[in-house]
Amino acid sequence: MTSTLSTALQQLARFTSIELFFIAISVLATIIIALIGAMLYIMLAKKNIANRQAQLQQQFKYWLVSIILQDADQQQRFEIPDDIKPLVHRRFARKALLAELVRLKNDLSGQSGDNLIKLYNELRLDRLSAYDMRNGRWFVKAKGIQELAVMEQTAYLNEIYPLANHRHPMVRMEAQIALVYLQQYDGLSFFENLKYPLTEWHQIKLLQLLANHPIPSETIVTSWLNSTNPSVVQFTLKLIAEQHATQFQNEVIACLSHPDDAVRRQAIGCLGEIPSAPAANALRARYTNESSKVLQLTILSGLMKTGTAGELPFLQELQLAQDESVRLAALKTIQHLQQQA
Amino acid sequence: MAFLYNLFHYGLLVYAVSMLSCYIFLGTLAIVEAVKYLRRSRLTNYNLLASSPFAPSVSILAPAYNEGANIIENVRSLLSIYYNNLELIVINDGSKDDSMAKLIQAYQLEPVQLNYHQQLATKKVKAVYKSTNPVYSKLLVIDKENGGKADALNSGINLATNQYLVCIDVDCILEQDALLKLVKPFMDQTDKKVIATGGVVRIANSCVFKNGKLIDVNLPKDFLPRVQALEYIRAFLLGRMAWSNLNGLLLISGAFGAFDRQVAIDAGGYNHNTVGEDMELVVRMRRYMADRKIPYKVAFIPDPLCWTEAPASYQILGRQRNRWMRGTIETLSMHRKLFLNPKYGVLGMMSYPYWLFYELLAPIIEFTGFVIFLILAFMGYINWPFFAVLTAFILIFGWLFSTFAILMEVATFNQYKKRGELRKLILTAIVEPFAFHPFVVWSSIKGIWDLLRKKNSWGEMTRQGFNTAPTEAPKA
Repeated sequence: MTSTLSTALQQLARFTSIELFFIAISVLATIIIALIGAMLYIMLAKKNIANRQAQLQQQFKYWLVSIILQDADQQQRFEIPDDIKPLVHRRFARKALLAELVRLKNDLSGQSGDNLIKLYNELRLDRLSAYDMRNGRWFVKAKGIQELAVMEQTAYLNEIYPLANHRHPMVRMEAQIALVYLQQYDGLSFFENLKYPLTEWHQIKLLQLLANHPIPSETIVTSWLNSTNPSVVQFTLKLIAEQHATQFQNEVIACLSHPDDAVRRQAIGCLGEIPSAPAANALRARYTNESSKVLQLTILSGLMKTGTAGELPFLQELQLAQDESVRLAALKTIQHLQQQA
Repeated sequence: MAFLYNLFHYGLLVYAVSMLSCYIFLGTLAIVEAVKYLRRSRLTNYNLLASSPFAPSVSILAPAYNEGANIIENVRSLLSIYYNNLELIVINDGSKDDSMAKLIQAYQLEPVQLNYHQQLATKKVKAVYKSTNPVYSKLLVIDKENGGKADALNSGINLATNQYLVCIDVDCILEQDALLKLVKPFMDQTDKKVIATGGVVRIANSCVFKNGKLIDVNLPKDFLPRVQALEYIRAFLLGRMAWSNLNGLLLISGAFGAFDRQVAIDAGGYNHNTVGEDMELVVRMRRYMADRKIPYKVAFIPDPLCWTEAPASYQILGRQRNRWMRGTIETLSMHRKLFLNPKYGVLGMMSYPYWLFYELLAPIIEFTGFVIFLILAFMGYINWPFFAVLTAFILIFGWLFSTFAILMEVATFNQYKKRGELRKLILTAIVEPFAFHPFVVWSSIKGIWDLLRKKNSWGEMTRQGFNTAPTEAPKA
């Protein structure tokens, strides 16, 4: 053992000459100097870009304010002031203008928003966004899609649609959002071929976009509830809950038997938003068949919203359960229902 | 003798080279992860989450012990957090000062009878309070017997009703969108369950705050906080980003981190028997998931989300580092089953060995090496030219790593952009190996010694308080 170690040490000694360390030190010192150089360069570049952007913003400011406030004639083009004319042909300035238009459009709607879109179209900034959308790098692609959606470029729908199943999650999310942004419920047609799950974040974004639009026909919603993609079912249940769409009560009750835990949890929550006697009965029935304890507890708290005094005997029976968390959840619901009564 | 000398000499060299290789590897991974995060983040509007009824519900747990001086402002700051689906649970862990009386008066608290399932054992809860003022409807205050931070957090977990727990030091100042950013990874989960997320903690010394909000970022003026600012940049922007890339994070800072409540409870909650309860919980939650073969992830947010005051005196810093070392040893010892255990994947094969060799053993090896060096020097065995070159090599590598961390900071979040701050940071990096690092090693050694003597106190952390911007005096 000692001799092996000695041999290893001798081998090591051959590679650790003082000259080697001098070389290593020189290399590391050079890298440090290079890193400091890079640091200064990045700082200056950042400062320079920020200054140029601030300067451009200042130049665009009064012009854009006047455009936002105009009662524009669709036939007439917006006038471009002389000091801005050369800027709209320069790449950096065009990008800065595009970013400013997208930022403003996110906060404005109605006539002001329409004016911004008109300006975007007149300056053919859609080409810049479409160019980005066709870029191979995911973050450029996603940005391009986002810009086209915000600026309501329906002409690019055919190009956006296939991206709804893109392998990169950010690209497909932006594409799916863009489809809904541009076509509302019709945009959800990508559900039919959806290969990937919708994340919770994505679902919230879609719900926000659809918040002011009435829920579509029963046939469409039912087809979503029967989707093989559990995240689509989950999303639909959230949609029903948000819009308090009581007409889908039976379909939601059917989802209580869905094989996916997350869908069952969502269905329980959804029934709380469309309370009725059948919903409470279904929850009670589900409680007995439910294998997940967490979901059993969710059902008990769900009964607070859907239940009536009729649920009291069932809940009182649960007061005898061995599990303390079940007893407590039942007690909370009993207290709540008694207070309501 | 010559053999022993060579073993010491080259053993240390091999250890140092392997450690430096790990740093280079981690630095590279950190760049990849940071770039990926920044690109994603630019496309994300976090405000979406703040008002959505479908945003996940969050319970903030803020344990407080003798925080009477600032408790009212700290709770007000937490109540102003921008998030809809939220409850704030302040746990008064048997404070000996007037914290509870102040809270009762300021927030119009009244005792309430709450039925809850005590899933985690804790010291006795004396009373639970809620405010009679609907403005503070999100606030719940637990008054309990003193049991330490882990015990206080467990009491909060028992009473929390929401899906996710955010554990925070009550004296931390959060960025306006901190919670939104911390919660988002839970909403991005698909095939892997996100069980915890952590955010970057930054040093608040010399920064200016107004009404519980950060209004001006400054590099700390005093040396000790400044060197810790550098240390935090290195640890968070390089270390944790890299481990996040590998899904091998073992530690989420106790100052600000989020956990899946059910997983935290199922794993057994915070452990009362360690002073490193934050690290221990993360390791146990990971182990719980791995044992059940449930795919999981611990996420990390590189944005500066939380600002905390760093120790400004050697005495308090020493206590903190002493405690950190004891916490690390206790955690690694409790979970020694993980060591090089392929069943635990990255956790067992990479994270645990890294922590063992380069976090736990590093100060021991460094200290032992120093003692042996003194003995050899006394006996005339030192090859001084070689020693000088080797020392220069180690020093220069340390500077390189710090410079790289500063570069990452400049290229990403660039918090210290005032004139001269970058220069000061680089100079601090140069001085650090002489004026700070030996003290940290010594404190860690004292921590090991204290652990061997079964001395397991938390160590009091006296704070100086934040700089606050002057508020305008009311006009006559």
